[in-house]
Amino acid sequence: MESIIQFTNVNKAFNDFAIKNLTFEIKKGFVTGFVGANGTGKSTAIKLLMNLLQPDSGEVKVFGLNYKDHEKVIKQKIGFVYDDHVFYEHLTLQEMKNLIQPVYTQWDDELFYKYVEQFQLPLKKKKLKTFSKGMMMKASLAIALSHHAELIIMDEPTAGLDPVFRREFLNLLHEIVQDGEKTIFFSTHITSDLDRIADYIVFLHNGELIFMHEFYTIAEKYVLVKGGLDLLDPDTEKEFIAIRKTKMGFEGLSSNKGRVMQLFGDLALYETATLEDIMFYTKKGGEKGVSIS
Amino acid sequence: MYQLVKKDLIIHKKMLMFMFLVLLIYMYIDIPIIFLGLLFSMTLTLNLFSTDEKRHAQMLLSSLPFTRKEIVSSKYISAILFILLIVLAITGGSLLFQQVLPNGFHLLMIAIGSLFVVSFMYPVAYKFTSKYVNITFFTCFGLYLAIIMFFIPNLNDQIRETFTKIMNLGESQLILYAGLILVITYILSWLLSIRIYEKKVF
Repeated sequence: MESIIQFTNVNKAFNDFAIKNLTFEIKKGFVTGFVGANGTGKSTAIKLLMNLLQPDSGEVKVFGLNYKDHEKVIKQKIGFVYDDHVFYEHLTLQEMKNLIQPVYTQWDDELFYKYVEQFQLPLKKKKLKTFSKGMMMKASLAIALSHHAELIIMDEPTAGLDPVFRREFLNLLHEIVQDGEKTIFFSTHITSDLDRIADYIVFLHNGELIFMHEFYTIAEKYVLVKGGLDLLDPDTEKEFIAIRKTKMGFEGLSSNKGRVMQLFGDLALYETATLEDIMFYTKKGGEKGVSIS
Repeated sequence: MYQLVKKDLIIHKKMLMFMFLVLLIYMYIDIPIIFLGLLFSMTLTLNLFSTDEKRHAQMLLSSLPFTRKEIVSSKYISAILFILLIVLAITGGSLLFQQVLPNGFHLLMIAIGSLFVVSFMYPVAYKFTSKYVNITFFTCFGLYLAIIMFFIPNLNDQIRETFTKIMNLGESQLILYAGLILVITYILSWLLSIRIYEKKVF
């Protein structure tokens, strides 16, 4: 399978935060969800991916090309949607489109107006500064999709959207990748979005890659274990990413489903771990200094 | 890059028209054109810069298929264009109100003076933000006063003497020297701004 995005040993340090040795690949034709709690480095990684930041070391390749020599070629093929307003707010959508259209060689006016109609966006009557968060997201998406981009990169696109439009939005993303030619990479901390459309999950925590898996395999690896405190001792606790103890018993997340089920047998209860569980326990595990496996 | 210059013209279209109108009003009440030209050129070129220095605009431009070199270069080209438009507006105003062409030497001094200001203003603004341009000017003025007070008490006399010598060169020689120095300064400023902007973190 062809890789569209390649991060190889990427490091980027700031005063109080660092991306550490980030290595992963994104496959062509799929939706990949980029997850992690707020402040774990998702936006920084997306900026590295868009060449808004340059890595201190390591390499970022998009479509197999590096930004140093092929910046314009790469960006011609990328559609981007940010969580912030990035357009000139004193312009109308039509005026903004007029500015952006000549920049892209593959711009498709017919497609743009189709999306404008589908999203019910005002073209000339309203300035962009009067657009709601949802309307702005739709406008960004209409522009991102109208130049036949092969890769759509989105930073927290669903944050702040109402549930109805969120569902429509996710359905649209699902439609976009149906031809197998387009790839979507989007960051979110709303993990329920990913249940609907993600094929792969890249999970980041404190600037480090925790895992990259096919979505369906997560349930095969991770498990939420519940049981009595008598089941825990220093050896069994090592099997967990983090454990939450109460007087009644414990609940813990393990990334080695087969082994813990063999270890505890019928003495414990097992539940499928959701991405939210994984994010929560990974954060807890990190805070307590428990090793993250 | 042509698209970026065109974008600057479109975005500042209303501002340009408003400024031309105000410029014509000032010309009607007979304010000296050198003063007006420098003032309006500086205001417009600073405004040209500040529109795109907001984080969201920088993110937009840097995400579109442009290199950072092109983004900076377009600003330097737009600045020349905007100053040229001011010179044209002054010429038009002069023809309208005095029915004569304005002094060519004065027009060249406006263009050269304004581009010198841009040469110093843009690298400072790229390194910090445009609001630091004012702070830098005030700091330079403070330094100038400190030099007069503590180091070179007759600095003003020396400047006046140098200025008189320069003025004695004759208009064509003066324009030639000033033009040459400007070309070098503008190119160096341009390259410096590219270097600063390529390292910029959004």
